[in-house]
Order: sequence, then structure tokens, then C-alpha cells
Amino acid sequence: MDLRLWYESRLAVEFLREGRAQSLLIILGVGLGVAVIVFVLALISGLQDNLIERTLGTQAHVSLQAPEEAVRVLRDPAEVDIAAQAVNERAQRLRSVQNWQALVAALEGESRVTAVSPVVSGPAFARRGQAFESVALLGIDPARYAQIVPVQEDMVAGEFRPTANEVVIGNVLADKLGVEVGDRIRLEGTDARAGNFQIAGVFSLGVRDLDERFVYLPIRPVQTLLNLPGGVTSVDVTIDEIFQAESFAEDLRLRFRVNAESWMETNEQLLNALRSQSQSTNLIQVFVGISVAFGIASVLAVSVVQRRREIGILRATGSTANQVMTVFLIQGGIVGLLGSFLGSLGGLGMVSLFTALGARPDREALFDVTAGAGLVMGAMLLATVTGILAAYFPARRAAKMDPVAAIRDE
Amino acid sequence: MTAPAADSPVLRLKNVKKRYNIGLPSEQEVLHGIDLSVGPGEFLAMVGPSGSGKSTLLNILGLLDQPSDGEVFIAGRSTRGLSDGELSRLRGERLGFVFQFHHLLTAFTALDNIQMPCWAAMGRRDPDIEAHAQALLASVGLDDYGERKPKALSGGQQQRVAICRALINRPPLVLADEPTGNLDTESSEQVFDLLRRFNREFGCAFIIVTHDLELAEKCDRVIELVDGRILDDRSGIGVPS
Repeated sequence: MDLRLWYESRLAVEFLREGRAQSLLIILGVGLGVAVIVFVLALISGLQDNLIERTLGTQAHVSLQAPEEAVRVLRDPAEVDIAAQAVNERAQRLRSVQNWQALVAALEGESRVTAVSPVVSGPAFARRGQAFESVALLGIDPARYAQIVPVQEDMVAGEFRPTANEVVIGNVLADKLGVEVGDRIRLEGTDARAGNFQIAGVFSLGVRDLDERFVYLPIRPVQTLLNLPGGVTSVDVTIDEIFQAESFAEDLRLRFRVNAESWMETNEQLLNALRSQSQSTNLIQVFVGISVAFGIASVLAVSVVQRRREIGILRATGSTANQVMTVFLIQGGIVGLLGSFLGSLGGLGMVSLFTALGARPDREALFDVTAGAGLVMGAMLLATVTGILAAYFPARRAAKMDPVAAIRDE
Repeated sequence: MTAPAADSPVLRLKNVKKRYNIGLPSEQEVLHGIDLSVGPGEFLAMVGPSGSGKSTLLNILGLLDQPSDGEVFIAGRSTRGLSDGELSRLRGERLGFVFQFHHLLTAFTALDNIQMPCWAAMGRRDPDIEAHAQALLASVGLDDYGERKPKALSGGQQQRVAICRALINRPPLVLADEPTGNLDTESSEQVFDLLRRFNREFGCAFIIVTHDLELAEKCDRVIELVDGRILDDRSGIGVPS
């Protein structure tokens, strides 16, 4: 058999062209199915990307901390049997990650790591006049931290520029304390350590809890306020593949003997939601795919009956059963390919329509819905293969058709 | 009844039987041991009443149907046990078909229809074949009709195109099933003359199944089939009515 299939393709194309209305109808049917798949997938993946981006927009992919302090039971060597032991868990002191400078250097050498930021954080009070709020101090290296949480993009006033005597706070805290850029607040840390700082900027991350509690300072003043000289409480890391975070954290735990926590661990519920969303999307895809396949198969089955006479002629003039079968398989493939091409265009159109209609009054889209080339190519490939598979039974029927009966059928 | 001796026959049937509904109470034998030999360049008519087994025999000759018993030899080669692909190739290379209802593919032009058996065999277009197809069209007076689709041709014109298709592979044997059955008298004569002309020009043998005794009379050899048996096989003019 000639692998270029010129003869079979020619027959397939001409037969489809001759039955134009029927071909168009089934191509549109396939197109509709593919459009739904492309649109739903774009929508769901846009939604998921958005959720992940929002979640990871305010946190590191992996955060390394000092191992928790545990109670060790002292045993008398002579006393070997301890039947029961009441253990009071230790209160966790604020402690520094051991040897964090070396850890930061080592992490920066990792190929998967895209940013490393040492952070010293702990509780404090912010006071201005009579107003008194509990806050979380975050001592950071602003340049490094900005690579992980781009606070500078969420500034509503001033600049993201914490210095030895300037802080950056959230808008909710600013409202509660009644301060604005240029005003001063007093921060009170551990062991009555306190200092006065000027507001350099106000941010709004869009998460109320953070906007109410986060106070950014450079590392050194926070070390002083928290009485943690030279120490940092965590080393935050981002990596290139966000879904590799858990395995990377595991890797770090084993190699550096630190407490490494990935975003996947801290956001398990979100991940579960994303997973079930993906499963329902897959189900939709499967059902739409099946209905597309049945559509193609039923139209081709009708076409085989309609083409009885032609099949008979082809067989009488020397075409093999395989050639006849190939003609109908190619038809299935063409219907799948053209249908999915139209469907992809339709799906992309629906995506743009959704983006346009769903835009907020400030003209910013609710979230980015983009159907990438990969999605479109994937949908087209899937539809073409589905078309060929769906054509199998009608094609086999055509190949098995008795040429004598087919010719006599007038 | 023995067939006239012919050197290396293009087609030979040996005790060919055809039964339907084998093993059922309704089992029926429609061909009872046909022996037939057709020599190169013979111009043969097969006549007989309806239900005499003409079409069944023609389908077996054309390798479209298998005999229940007996053997079919094409160019001295037995066709028994050949695969579908081998039978199709043999059909495409050694046989031409002309049907009563023209049976052209309406999606293709006249020129494409003529080349179809070659395309099936070669799997591609060939300029030599196209030139040959064009020459055949010209020889049947349809030079300017090559790009027309069958629906734009008259019945007689369609049948002429179908004859060209049967001859494109220069087969040693052409099988024609009621080739004039669907045509008016004038077109019938034209088509018959054409078959005769090609028989003489190309030297290919023809087996023409027909009801038309007048037409049969003009053939070199007439076989009369009755109830699945060859009742008469005679050379020369004239058939018993």
C-alpha cells in the first residue's frame, strides 16, 4: 500500500465535497464539541492559574525554618522499662535557622531555585497614641524579598523601601492606626525592646489578614526588636516548577536537616479543590469527546450506506477492501481535523467574549483566560484521532460490503 | 457442450457451481457446473432469460463473487485461494467492467473516472495514464467532455466514458453487463459499435451479457444460458429465438 495515500485521500476529499451539506453539518458538530472543550479548559486553567498566582503571590514556594524543639525523655540506663510517660510539649521559642548564611549561599547554587530570601519575623505591637495593634514584624532584604512577594506592585501610597528607621505597613493597619506615609508609629517587640519608625509606604496585598498585620522592616532592626541578634527565622525560596515544591522541600529536609515546608503542604485544601476541578474538567472532556465520536461515527455510517454504489464501482475497478476502508478512515480524520480547527477558533472566540464581558468596571479582566497553542494543538490532535477511531466501524463495514450487491443496487 | 478451442485462453471456467443458502432448507444451486473457455480477442454474447444465472456467472467471471465449487482461471492462473488484495489487483489489471447503469463516480470528472482503475493500482496520478485517458475519450468522440462530471453528460456519453474506463488498463478481457440496456436505440448502436471497434483495435476479448438478441446476433460467439447451464454455445451469426 502506498503510504502517501494519494488515491484514498482524493476519494475521501471528493466524497466529502460532494455531500457538502452533510459534511458541513458534521464538521460543525465536531467544532461545537471542540469549542466547548477548548473554552472549558481555558476557563478552568485560567481560574486555577489565577488561584495559584494569588496564593503564591504572597508566599514562598518553600520555607525553611529551624526544627521545632522537642522534649527529650531522660532515662536512667538501669531502668529499661518505661510503660507510660506523660509529655508536656515544649513552648516554641523564636529561634534562628542554624548557619543561615551558608544555607542561603547553598540554595542560590541550586539550579531549580529562582529566588532566596532570608526573613526574620515575629510578633510585636504597633502603637500610635491610644491605638494599639498586634502585628507581625517581617525583617527582610527588600531586593531579595521582592522577587518572592512583589509587594512593590501592590503599593497604594509611598514606596516599598523599608530602612533602619522606616517601615512599610498594610492599608488596614494604616487605617486602624490612623496613619499615612510620613507619620510615625512605635513598634514594641520582645523584652520591652521598642523603636519609633516613620511610614515609608502603605501596601494592599488584597488579603485582609496580611494587610492588617504585616509590617516590613530591614532584617537588622527586627533582629533587635525580637532579640534575635544575627538570626533569621526562615529562609524563603521560590523554584521554577511550582508543583515540584513538595519534592524539593523533602530534598532540602534530608540534605540540610531543616524544617522545610512547601506551599503545597500549607495549602492542601486549595490543592484538593484544584484537583477535583481538574477531574470534573476531564469528565466533561471525556463526555464531549464521546458525543463527538458518536456523531462522526453515525454520520459516516449513513454515508457508507449512501455510497454503496460507489463502493461497488471502486471494488469492481480494482480497489482493495483496505483502500475502501482507508477512504472512510481518512474522512473521519478530515472531519475531526477541520471540525477541531473551527472549534478551536470558536473556543478562542468564546474565551475573548468571556474576557470582554466578565471584565470589571475598572476594565481589568476578572482573571486571565488564555487558550495557549498547546491546548489548541492538543484539542485538534485529539479530535483528529477521535475522528479516525470513530470512522473505524463504518469504514470496516464499507470494506466488507459485497461489491456484487452494491453494484446491483440501483 | 464444449467451448471452442482457443490458444492460451484469457479466461477459463472449470466445473463452476454456485449455490446460495448453503446448509439451509432453502439451499439453491443457480449454476450447475459451467465449463467455459474464452480466447484472446473473442467477441462473445451471453444471452438467456431472467434468472438463468447470467449475472451470477458474470460476477464470478469478474472475480466479484466466488464459485461454491470449481475453478476460475485468468490468463492460465487459478484464482482459488487468492487474497482480497490479489483478486483486486487481478481485477484491475486483467479485467474491465461496463455496467448497465454506467456506474461512474459522480464526484469526479469524466477524465478522473477513466483513470480510476490505474489510480487504484498505482496509488498515484500519472501523466502517461492521463494522456491515454484523454486519447480514449477522443476516440469515443468526447474530447471536450473530459472535465465534465457525469451528471453533465447524456446516458450514451456516460456509457462511452464507462467503456473508456474499462479499457484504460488495456485489459485482455472486458465484461459488459447489459451495456445498452438503459439506452435508446441510437445510443445502443453507437455503444455496441464502439465495443466492436475496440475489440478489433485493441484485440481484447469481450463478454457481453444482454437481453437484446439482435445485438447478440452481431457477436462472433453466442452462449445461451438456461437454468444455470450452458444450453447452447455457437460461433457465427444467428441464435435460436
